[in-house]
Amino acid sequence: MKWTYPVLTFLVVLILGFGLLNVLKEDLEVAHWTEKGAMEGRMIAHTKNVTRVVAKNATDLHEYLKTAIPYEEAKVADMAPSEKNWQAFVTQSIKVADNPRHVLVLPGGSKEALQWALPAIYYAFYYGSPVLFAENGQLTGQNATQYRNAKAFIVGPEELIPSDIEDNFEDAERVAGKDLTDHAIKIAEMRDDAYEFGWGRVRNRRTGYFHYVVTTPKHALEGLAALPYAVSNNASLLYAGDEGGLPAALDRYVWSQRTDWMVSPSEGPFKHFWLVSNDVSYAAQSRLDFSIEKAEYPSMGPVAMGYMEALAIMLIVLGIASAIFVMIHSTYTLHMVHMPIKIAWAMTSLVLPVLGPILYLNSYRRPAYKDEKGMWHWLRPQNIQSAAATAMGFGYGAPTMIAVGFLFVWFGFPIFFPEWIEGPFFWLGAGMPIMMIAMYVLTVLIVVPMVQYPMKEMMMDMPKKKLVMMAFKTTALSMAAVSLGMMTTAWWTMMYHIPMMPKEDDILWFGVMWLASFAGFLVAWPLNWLMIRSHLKPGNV
Amino acid sequence: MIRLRYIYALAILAVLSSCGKTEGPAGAGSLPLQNEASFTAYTVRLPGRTPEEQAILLTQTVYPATREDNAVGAIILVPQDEIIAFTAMQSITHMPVNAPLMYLTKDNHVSEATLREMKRLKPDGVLNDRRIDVYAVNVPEAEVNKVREILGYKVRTFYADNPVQLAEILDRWQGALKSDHPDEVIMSALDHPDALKHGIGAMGWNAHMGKGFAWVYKDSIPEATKRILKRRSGDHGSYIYLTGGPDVISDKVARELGRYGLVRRIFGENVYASNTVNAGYKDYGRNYGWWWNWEQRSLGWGIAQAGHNFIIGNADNMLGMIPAAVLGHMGKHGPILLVAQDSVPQAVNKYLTMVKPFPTGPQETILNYAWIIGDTGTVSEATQREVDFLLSPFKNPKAAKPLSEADTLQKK
Repeated sequence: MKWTYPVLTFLVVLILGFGLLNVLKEDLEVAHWTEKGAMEGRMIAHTKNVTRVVAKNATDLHEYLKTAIPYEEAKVADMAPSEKNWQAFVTQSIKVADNPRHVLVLPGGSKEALQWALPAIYYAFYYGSPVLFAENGQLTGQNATQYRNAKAFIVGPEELIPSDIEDNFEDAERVAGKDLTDHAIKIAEMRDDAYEFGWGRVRNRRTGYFHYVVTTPKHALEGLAALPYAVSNNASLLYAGDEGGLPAALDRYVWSQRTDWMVSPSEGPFKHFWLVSNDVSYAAQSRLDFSIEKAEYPSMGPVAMGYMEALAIMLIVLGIASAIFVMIHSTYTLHMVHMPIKIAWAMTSLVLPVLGPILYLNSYRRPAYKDEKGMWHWLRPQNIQSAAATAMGFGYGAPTMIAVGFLFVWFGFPIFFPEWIEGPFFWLGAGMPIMMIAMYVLTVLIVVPMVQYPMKEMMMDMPKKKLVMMAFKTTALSMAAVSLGMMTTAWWTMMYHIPMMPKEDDILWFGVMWLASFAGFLVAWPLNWLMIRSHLKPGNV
Repeated sequence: MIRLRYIYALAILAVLSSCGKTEGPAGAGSLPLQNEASFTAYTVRLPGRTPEEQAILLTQTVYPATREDNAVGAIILVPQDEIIAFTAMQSITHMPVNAPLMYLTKDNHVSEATLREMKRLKPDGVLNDRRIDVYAVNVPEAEVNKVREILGYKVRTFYADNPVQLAEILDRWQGALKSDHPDEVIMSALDHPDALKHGIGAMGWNAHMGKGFAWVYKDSIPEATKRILKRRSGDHGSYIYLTGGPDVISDKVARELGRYGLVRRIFGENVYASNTVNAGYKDYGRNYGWWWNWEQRSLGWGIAQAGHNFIIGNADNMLGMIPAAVLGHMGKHGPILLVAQDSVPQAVNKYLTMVKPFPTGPQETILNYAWIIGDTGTVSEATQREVDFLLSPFKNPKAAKPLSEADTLQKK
């Protein structure tokens, strides 16, 4: 076997493998630049999707918001909340609705009680829920008996509100997360329509303009001072970690809140965070900011995963699995097939998931004979011969084209726009056409000497000069057909179907290339049918 | 076996370390302008005191730059020249470039603060253009070299003797970058003193969507602009949008432009109204079609209902407002509206009243939002509060005291 086959395969796999690993790496990374100066020189702390509510303490914040949110509907108690008076602050702030459908039983007393109660207090203030406090196993606050027949939501764990409190109500339901972060998310997500409790802000609620106040358990009191946002901005409360980071549950939740756009990013809804804790890190803030940045529907932006990206991943994973299957299967069962041909089938299967292995099996599960030179041939109908002949060129050509294309997107497209080029041929200086032309030309120039000529030399008995010409012509023609399908599909998908052209670190770029290769194969197949008929290519090896 | 365990452990450690870490230092603190960056329920102020500082505040707001995906694609660097900045922002900002605009100092140098911010922004480089990091428009060569040498960034320079020529160069560049000349072309009058004010809203749309741009004069069309229009290949040639009424771009010019395509005007009775008209403006319909494929034209925000973001600043602060268009390019997006320092003009008041939200349920909330551009000397606190009220779903604001007196906040 010539060294050129495995060397080219190695280079192509190396480039594509590097590209795919780079996608994986960038998707896994969280905020690796943060400590390298991303915060350096900042003059304000706000970012586009996060307003940093920097306050000295709860009293400061309470005072400021009286002016900043002057609306009667969002007015809270005049006194600033403190560890001692927070229950009274809550009771005085809430304007109980005329016919409330539920009553909230909140833990009272300690700071820990406030932490557990706070997410529900936000909803209570928004809705006008009557609130009862449970302290030392007893209900305090408003008269509990008047709410006996109302649906009671017992908010918090049993350690803070014992289960016998539930006996005070006809119908009671406990709402408690396994920790504070989970608890706040639970209240943000839950919705009981019958009793009108819970924000109902779940992943598939794509149309709401949700705002969130984010604080830390340590700064629960500041979170309480930011209560006006519950009415002015319908903000629900979420907890970041006391160490200043985003706990995994919160991270998952905020990413689920990312909204997509279908026509233009100026369409709603928009989401926003009000960050009420000086301890939350800049890295966490920027991640919050990034998590809800609107993204186009197909990809949902970098890091998140859109529906088309999911399809792309499936296509690529199936391709890799198909290639591995063909390589292993042919190695163990087809000793008589030359390695370059096995590689061609494996590489074909890489970019032709499922169909590749089907054609491969169809090509070799047939009667075979050995010719006088010891070479094996399989008796195949012409369609399958054409598929096999296509695979021999396509297997090396298509992945090489993708690899060349990847190098272009990695290093950037060269563009030219001198005055003289303007007119009908301005596109000759444009990046995409240059990349496409280069993908075709470079691939033909690489594949002819490294693969097609040696392969034809192995299979066909011809003078060297004629063989070189034939290798060049058939490869140029075959790759032109592959390119026709491939480039058309890639252009249409990237320019018209995907709103933002994917970059080198976007799985959609690879997905589009895989899809385009599939189309390229389907276009090249009939052309190879003609070449088989004209004996320009062998189709039975 | 022991070796294998070590290998597994090392592999797991390698995977875990590749996940990075979320935490750095606490994010809030005594940042120099945090006190001035006052916020209400529906507005946040970006209190730039000079155009250069305003541009930095904008890039800091839009691009946290903690990772490649929330950093910039490139940076536009221009002198403090309204016309140059206006032209550059029209043609360069939008994807695939993704570039905010930054200013040189008044004496045409890259200041230390701007240089530091450019470093912080860590451009990814524009894929469609050789991974260019900085687009320097009419920037002195010495300053370009400074950027290259100190920051190691790849810089593409554009030099033009006049804005008409600059628009033409940028149009050619845009065609190569996008493999297309967008058929919709926005036009402003170069020789009218209020042309930029009439056209800044439409410029914001271009920063948001990346369509074409060209200059005209009030009573004539420059040759370079004719060349730009001839490059368009829609069914009617170009789709031309004039920013300003006949007093800004004459009817004679509008008629003459009709030779190159369909002409529309985006204008109101004054500069404030021109921008509210722009915010509500939407033109869509035929562009071109051939057998099985067709492409529609589409220009304008078309915002006539609640649930949007606005970029609000003083009509006399064009140098501050031009880079603010980047807020319409990322984040909540949205059109530019102009106000006076101490009042919300009638046109803006009417428009915001039209798009005022209303109370809804917890799952279908609709909210408006606005950025206030400039310090209180540019847009007063009273104006900010008035805007907040207009954006709110409420009717009766009863402020206990003015925002300026709420001074205990943020003194950490």
